[in-house]
Amino acid sequence: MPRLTFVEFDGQTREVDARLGETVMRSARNAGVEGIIAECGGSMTCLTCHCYVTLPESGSLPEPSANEQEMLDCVLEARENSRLSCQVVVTPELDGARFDIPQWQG
Amino acid sequence: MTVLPKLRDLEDATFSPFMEESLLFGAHDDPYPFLAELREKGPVLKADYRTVMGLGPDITFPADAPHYMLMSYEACSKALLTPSVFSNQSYMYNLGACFGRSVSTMDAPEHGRFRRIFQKVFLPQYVKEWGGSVVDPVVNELLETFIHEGKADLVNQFTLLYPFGVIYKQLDLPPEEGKIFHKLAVTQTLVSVMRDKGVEASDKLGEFFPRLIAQRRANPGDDLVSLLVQTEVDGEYLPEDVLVSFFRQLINAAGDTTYRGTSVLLANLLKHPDQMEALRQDRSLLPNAIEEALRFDGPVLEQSRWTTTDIDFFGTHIPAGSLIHVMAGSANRDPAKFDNPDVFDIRRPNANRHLSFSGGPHICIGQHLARVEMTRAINAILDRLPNLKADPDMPPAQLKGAMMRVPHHLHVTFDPS
Repeated sequence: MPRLTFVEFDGQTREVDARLGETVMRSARNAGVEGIIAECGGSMTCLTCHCYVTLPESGSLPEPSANEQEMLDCVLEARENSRLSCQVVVTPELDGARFDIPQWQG
Repeated sequence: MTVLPKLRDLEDATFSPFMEESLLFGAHDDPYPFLAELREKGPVLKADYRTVMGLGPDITFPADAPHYMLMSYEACSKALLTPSVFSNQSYMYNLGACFGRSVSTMDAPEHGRFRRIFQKVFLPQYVKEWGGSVVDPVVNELLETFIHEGKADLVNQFTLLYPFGVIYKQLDLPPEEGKIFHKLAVTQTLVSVMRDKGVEASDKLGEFFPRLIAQRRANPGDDLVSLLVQTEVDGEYLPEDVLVSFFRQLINAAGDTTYRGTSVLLANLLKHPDQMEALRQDRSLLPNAIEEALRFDGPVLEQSRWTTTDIDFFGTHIPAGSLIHVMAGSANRDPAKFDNPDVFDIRRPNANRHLSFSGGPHICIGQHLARVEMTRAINAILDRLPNLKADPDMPPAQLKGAMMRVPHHLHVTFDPS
């Protein structure tokens, strides 16, 4: 199982062994990561599962879809490595990835 | 067509839908102790919320459909996140009857297709710009009408007016037209209790908006109508009937709820002067204070859904074709989710987990705008009305309602300027 690290805005860190094929959002919600709110349940309408992704050197991640990119243009405090975690699927290449959570979702 | 079309008033121009509101929403002082009692009986109850609150039933619902109320946070949240079973078809009966083909009455995949188009203009980046260009001027203009007086009724002189001022400005409607628009928009929602009036108002808006759409297609400006009629996704424009229903719904969805939410926050700050002072000193508390007001007494207590299949849900068998009352007002006070849920605390760490904007694919499309409006309004009030407090010579604020909540007055005093 790929191991993902979630870092809340206050610095609290949680390591999660995520199921392959699950979304990162669901893995975080199941593990009780508070900062990933995901109030629309993954239908890409709320922007409340936004996070900043840092991959390990060996890791890789598909580019966001056009729809996700359009939404990412609108999040508060967007950065280069912003992603909607409901759109990121857990793969072996994600092992060791770190997800930093912004102060405000939306 | 370049001339702005005229809205036609109701045949009975003296009819005031605002007087009939208690028929629809109730006039209860505090429904929460009763909701707590019901919640203790179980997460799912076979009952109709309107009936248990002593209100007349919604006459648009099928008379033979069983009703279930979801009381716990977990049950409410789970239902909202399971749209394949808990469908928005429930809104076909009431909202569908007055608004027409609306995104609120649709399910996947149709819903997502249209939602994505509307959503584009309501995302935070767009909405932030409206804060300065649309919301601030409306807020300041209103404050200036009473700022020199040292006292005011913040509901009738401010919160009841500003979100509607924002909408008229967004739609670029002349203010006189805005008043009739407001009246018709509120009257159409009475379809659940006074069918004829509701249908008449809905028809009048239905003849106005296609003309407005045509006028803005011919002469686009930078208003919301022009923006939406020109918005396309994957080469597709929004169909006219879907656009018309969206505009019909705006007053209620964007104006009425923001008026209520802002009033609830102000009422609770006036009731807790220590928290108001803390907020005045440290405005970084404002985002969470807004969430806490929406949790503590969110303006919309109940959302409805319709079961598409039989389901065993938290120990209760719910048959297909049931009307589900998702009791956000109960979920938001569930002690299993919120510690000391009946305490108003602007520093509550998980205040933003309330269900007042709903959840799942139908989560409030205007939530970011609502937050911007409330932020601008409260900041302006704290900046421009120093020493703001409840007027000791007037009755204290009293929230009213079982379906929708609001105080009808907020009498305050402040240092005039």
